[in-house]
Amino acid sequence: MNNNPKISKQDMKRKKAFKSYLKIKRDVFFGVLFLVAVLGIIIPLRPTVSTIEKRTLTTFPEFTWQSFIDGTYFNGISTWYADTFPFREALLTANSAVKGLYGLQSEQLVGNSDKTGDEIPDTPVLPSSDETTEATTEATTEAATEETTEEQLPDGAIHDIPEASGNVYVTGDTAFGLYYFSTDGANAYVNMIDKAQKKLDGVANVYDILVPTSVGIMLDENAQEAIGSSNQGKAIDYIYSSINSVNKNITTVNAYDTLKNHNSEYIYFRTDHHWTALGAYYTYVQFCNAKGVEPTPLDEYETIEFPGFVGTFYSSSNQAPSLLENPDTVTAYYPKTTNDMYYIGSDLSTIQWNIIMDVTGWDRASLYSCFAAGDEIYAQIDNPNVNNGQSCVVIKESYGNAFIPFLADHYEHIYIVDYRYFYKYPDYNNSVYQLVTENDVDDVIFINNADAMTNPNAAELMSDMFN
Amino acid sequence: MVFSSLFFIYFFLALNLLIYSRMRDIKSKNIVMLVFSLIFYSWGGPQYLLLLVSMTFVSYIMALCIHTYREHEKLFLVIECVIMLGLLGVFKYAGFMLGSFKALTGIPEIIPEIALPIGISFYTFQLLSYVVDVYRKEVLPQKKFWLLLLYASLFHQCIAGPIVRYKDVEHDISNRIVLQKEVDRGIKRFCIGLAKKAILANGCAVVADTFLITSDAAALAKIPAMGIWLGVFCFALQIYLDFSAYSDMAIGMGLMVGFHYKENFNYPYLANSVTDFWRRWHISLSTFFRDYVYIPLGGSRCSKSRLVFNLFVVWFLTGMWHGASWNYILWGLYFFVFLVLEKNFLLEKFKTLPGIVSHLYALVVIYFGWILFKFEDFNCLGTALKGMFGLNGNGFSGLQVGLTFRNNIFFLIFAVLAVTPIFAIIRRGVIKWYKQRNAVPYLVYGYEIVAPVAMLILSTMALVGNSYNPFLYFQF
Repeated sequence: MNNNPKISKQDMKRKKAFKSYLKIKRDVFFGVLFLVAVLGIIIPLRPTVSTIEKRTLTTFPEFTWQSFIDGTYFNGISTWYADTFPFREALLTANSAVKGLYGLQSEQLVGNSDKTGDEIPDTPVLPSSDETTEATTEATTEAATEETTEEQLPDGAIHDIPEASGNVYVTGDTAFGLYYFSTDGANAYVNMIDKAQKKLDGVANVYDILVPTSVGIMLDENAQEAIGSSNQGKAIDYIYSSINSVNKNITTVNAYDTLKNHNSEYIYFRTDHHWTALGAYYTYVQFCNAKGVEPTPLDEYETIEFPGFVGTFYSSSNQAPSLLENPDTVTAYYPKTTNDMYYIGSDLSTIQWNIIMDVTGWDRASLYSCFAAGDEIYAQIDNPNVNNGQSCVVIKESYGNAFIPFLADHYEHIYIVDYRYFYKYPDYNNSVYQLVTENDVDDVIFINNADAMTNPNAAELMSDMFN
Repeated sequence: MVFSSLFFIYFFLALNLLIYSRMRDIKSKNIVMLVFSLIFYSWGGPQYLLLLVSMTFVSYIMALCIHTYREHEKLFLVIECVIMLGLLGVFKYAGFMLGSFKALTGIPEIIPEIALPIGISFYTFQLLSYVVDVYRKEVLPQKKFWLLLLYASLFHQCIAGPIVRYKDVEHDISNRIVLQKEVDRGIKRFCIGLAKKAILANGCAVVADTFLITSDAAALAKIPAMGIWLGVFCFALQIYLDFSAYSDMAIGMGLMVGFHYKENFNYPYLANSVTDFWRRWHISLSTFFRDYVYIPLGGSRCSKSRLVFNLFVVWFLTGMWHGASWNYILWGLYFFVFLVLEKNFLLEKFKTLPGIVSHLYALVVIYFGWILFKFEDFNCLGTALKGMFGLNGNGFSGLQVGLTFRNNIFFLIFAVLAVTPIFAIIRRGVIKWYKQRNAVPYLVYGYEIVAPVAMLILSTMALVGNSYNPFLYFQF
């Protein structure tokens, strides 16, 4: 056996190396396993909210005998453990980076729902108003990429209700939320605004502004068709012509053409489903033309910028890395005559705020909240420096926020009604008519994005304010 | 609790290994494993723990009776089979059978909804195999009830297989030694399984589910043909990666504590016939049916028509085991047809043709088999089959299909490689290269130290915030 000492020495070396290798491998594996296991039980390390997914994370389940016996208690523990895992956001981001290696991802279609769009009729096809305002449709009660802010803190808004996502198309550094036309949704909207105007007849002027979303303006029409997104130009045409045929007293404002005209400019965000203040400005110009007032030239506004905005499309595209790496910049234009407003908090207290709030340092996903206090149950702008006796009610969702600041120089009072939350404000009993008559309001302006008219629930909420 | 969950890995398993390693004698080690296994089982609902324990107790008694009263052995065996299979039948198949009966005759009006106890298909078969093996005098009955309960409930394989025979682990239960080499193999095996499930299987599932819509035939009809083909392809990858991952993790965890479970998969997509496929896929199930159904019926040592009958029974049961729904039975019988054809002349024919032909034949048969497996609803099944050939007016391809494919192309290539033994082959080649030079294979050692931990970390990242994580064979 020891005839050749050289080989034996090699043998010994190999055996020793093998033994060390075994030990190191074991130590490394169990070291990592137990380290993470220990981290896993350090409760303070566990997050309670997810900024990426915009929701509060699962809480530790309540113990009940029933839930113990049928296993839901234990299931809840496992879910809580996974959902609030330490360093969750970092791990999620890292995982998205790894998934970015899965293939060629310059273009992606992220399907969060299997919606499809209805054919857009060429001429108005309206059933009677009774049917449509109660219409609940088959597949179109999903989507609504609405942002909801229940609470605003200095460090950024936390959203209680998770954002529902439609399908998202990502190409390069830009995301688009697909648009699906719904005949029921469109008809419900038409009937709603007809009802509203009839209620306000002789009391206030009704303006209707339908704002297309980025997919209908920035994406080539062939591409829209290829990804199955309905044509927003046609859809808005259909709705406006339907409105004009039932009610001659509603002034419809065409935002589609002007936005299409300016679509080489930065009028929509790439990482968020909202438009920019610039896009809102061009629409404001159209509104002024419809109303018959002079719009303020753009260069007369002072501006402020909030860079590093990574909005809603980041999470609804499963954290497409290209969006994170190419954030947006929010540019806001200060009204010339006032920057003061107030809003009503969820506890019904009055909170003084700014029309353009400085959101520097806020969470990167919340920067759009700089406009008009975001989405509250009620808000109001009283302008001491305008004395033309004009006031308006703006009925809106989050798209309206970027539009409202441009109105501030034209009205003494702007009453801001977010149709999703107005019912929570007791002062007006969810009645816009009451708001209008009590305050002698001149104009009622509806401003909604295209998605709002695919969902009959939106029309129903608005309709409830005119009972 | 599922293996591929953060809670299982970083709380349950970590705690289990920690406490286990502190135990000095086999008795305390077994107690630790039993306690953890019962907790693991109860995690899905303590109400079914009672069932597991009772069924194990019945088997415990029956085995002892068979052994002690050999003159009545048949009686006890029958009692055992009736109780085990009866309970399995009630919990798993009552709803299905009543539903089918109702479809034919209109009665009964109301079909009771019976929840399926976790793992019942696995542990019932394990207990049956134990009692039959005692009957056949292949193994002595376990005198200590708690050790039999350990066998039946051991969390490594109770819920998701492999179906472990008592005689294969009898020695391990009472005499375990932990060898360092085995611990290392166990670590690697476990991590490979975890990564297969958390990363590969789940990734394939996302693509498969995008195109194979099981709940809505109308939506399914709109999927372009290429979408269905791609979807089934990804589903084929998914189901292998998913199921073999669980066996990998079970085997890995077993090795870490000294249990030796048999392999349950052997690169099934390398098969060159359906016969060969079933020697490579869910081996513990096919050997169970072979040893406890096929051979008792006479196996292949009988007339040709009897052989066909035997095969029919086995494949009907195999299909049915996979799910209480007609599509699974159809899936089993689909293979039955090909197996009969192969036994009769196809295999002979293939011997005269190049190997690639039989391999392609096998892949095509298996591929279409997965469509039967995927759709429980016959409406959707028909729509999917029609959709593959554009008969739904659904077009050849579409933007989403092309994009999904491009978005995942590297991943899919990797997944395909993962179902082949190529990584193992490369590794063996590298080791051989080092051996020839009589050198220490530092490269291999380095890889072997880093790879498991890398897979563990990558899997952890994948599991965080992962809403999609069901185990396909979980309806068992």
